[in-house]
Amino acid sequence: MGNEIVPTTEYRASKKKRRNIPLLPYLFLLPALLLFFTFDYLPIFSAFYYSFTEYHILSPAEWVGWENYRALMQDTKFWIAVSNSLTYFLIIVPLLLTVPLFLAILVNQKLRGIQLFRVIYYLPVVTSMVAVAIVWKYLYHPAGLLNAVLQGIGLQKEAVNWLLNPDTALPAVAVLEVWKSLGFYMVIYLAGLQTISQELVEAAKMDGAGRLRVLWHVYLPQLRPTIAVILVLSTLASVQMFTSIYIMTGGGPFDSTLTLPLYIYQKAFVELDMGYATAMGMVLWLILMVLTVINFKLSNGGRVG
Amino acid sequence: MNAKRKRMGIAIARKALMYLLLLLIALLFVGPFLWLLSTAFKSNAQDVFTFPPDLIPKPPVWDQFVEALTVIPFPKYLLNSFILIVVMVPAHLFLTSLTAYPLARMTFPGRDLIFYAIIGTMFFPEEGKLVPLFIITQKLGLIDSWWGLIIPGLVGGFSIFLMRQAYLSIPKELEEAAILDGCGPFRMWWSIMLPLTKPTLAALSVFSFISVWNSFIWPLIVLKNDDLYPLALGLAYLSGTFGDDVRVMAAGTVVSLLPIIVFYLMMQRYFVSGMQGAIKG
Repeated sequence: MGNEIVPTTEYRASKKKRRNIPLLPYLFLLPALLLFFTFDYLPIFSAFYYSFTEYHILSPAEWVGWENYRALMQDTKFWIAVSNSLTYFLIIVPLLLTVPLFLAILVNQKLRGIQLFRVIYYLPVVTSMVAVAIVWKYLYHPAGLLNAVLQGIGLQKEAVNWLLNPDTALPAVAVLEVWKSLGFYMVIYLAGLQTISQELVEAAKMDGAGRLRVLWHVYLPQLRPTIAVILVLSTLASVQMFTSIYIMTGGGPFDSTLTLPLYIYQKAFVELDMGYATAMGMVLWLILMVLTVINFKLSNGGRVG
Repeated sequence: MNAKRKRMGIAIARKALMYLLLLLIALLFVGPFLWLLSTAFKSNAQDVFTFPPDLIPKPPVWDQFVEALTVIPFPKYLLNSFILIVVMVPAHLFLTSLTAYPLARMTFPGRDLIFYAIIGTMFFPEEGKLVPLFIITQKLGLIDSWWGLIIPGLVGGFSIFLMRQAYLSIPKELEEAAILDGCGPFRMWWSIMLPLTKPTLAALSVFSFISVWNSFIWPLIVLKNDDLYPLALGLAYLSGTFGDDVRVMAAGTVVSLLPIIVFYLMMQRYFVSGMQGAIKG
């Protein structure tokens, strides 16, 4: 019953001429459908076409068959971008699956003023990535706060230039990305936690289950749909990283932080190589599709179980 | 008695520890913003990179705010973002509620197909279609104008999905009574159904506000003329040219963050309700 569509209205006018197809609903839909067609489906379908062309905006697109894809396979920078994107994925997704759950459990307690903490933890989510990336760039500065703290508590002898060192730049950007979205996933987990039946939790406690066992055997199985949502959303976000990298490193040093979206941007809008960039966009979709299918399998389609 | 008191003592200690933990985590989230705020007010005589971090500006100065608002075209970028919001948020709400209505409350051939086609757009992430979208926008002559920012961003699968959920939860009896009273379809939508979806409309306007205010990639691609830049793009542009002047950049960043943070604190209850509405659906 829950998700069934509410029985709909039939107007007198349409009752009289029941056989005719009613015009009215299409009138409501027309503006949006035009927009979706022009700015979603047209780009999606023309992407297939442009990925097989050589196109530099000024001259008409020229059909080149598989040439772009062939060139992609031999483009080392492309493979670096793909492998970086996967590294971001492997760092970011596990963190966003676990830490926000811990935060959600923490702010789901009945404590005075707990709402204030929820508001604070969510704050970075609403701020613009450009602004926080600028702030974090200064925090990562050799003379910045992070180095000062690490040296101050003796964890580090010399200042590290986090964003200019090919070994640390990628994790540094990933940490910012995680920090910014922890609150978002915490709220999703909170909504999931509120659907868990308290009776089950109480029953488990009566049977003498400790905290960890309650978490593992009661919370996690019931959070399955929530976890599936988070898996899909965080995967999408991690593979699409752009703004943080654009601001903090521009893809460097030595392409160590370059991602596929950033490389697409450079090819299309700096070098104006539209066909090649579109072919990369197709690969990006393919990667996302494969990851989503894997996620879906892993989370058992989000069924409670 | 003693055991009871002891237990109470433990409970209080545990509570105190819990608050300590909550506060420490809160510090991780607001720390960068606090550092930014203190840097923005520090004078040139005070080192901004020290340990232990010296957060109190001695004395606090306004100079870099004056500089950020006069030397750099910050007010222009702020104004651009405000104009875009005033145009885009209402237009987005209007189109979303118009589109979701028949999908939730009318039967007609192709309804489910259209619904899935709209929802399906969410599965093609922006960055994969960035280039062909640019090509089409360019062919329509919308490049380097606000129309190129506004028109492609007017509808979205996610908002229509949320709005449809809101219409679906309205009881059918209400509609029947209105029809008996001779209410026509457009009035039914505008004056009966729409007011009943206010919580969702509020949540949607909040999401829409945030996304317009923070939008970056699309403006970056569409706009060449920096007179048209919205705030986030303007800020990025400035960090390229004024990046070495930490204090001025900090002041500018504070100015860019302030409206959105105030807006968030005012509207925060709609964030949670909106998010939960999205998940329940």
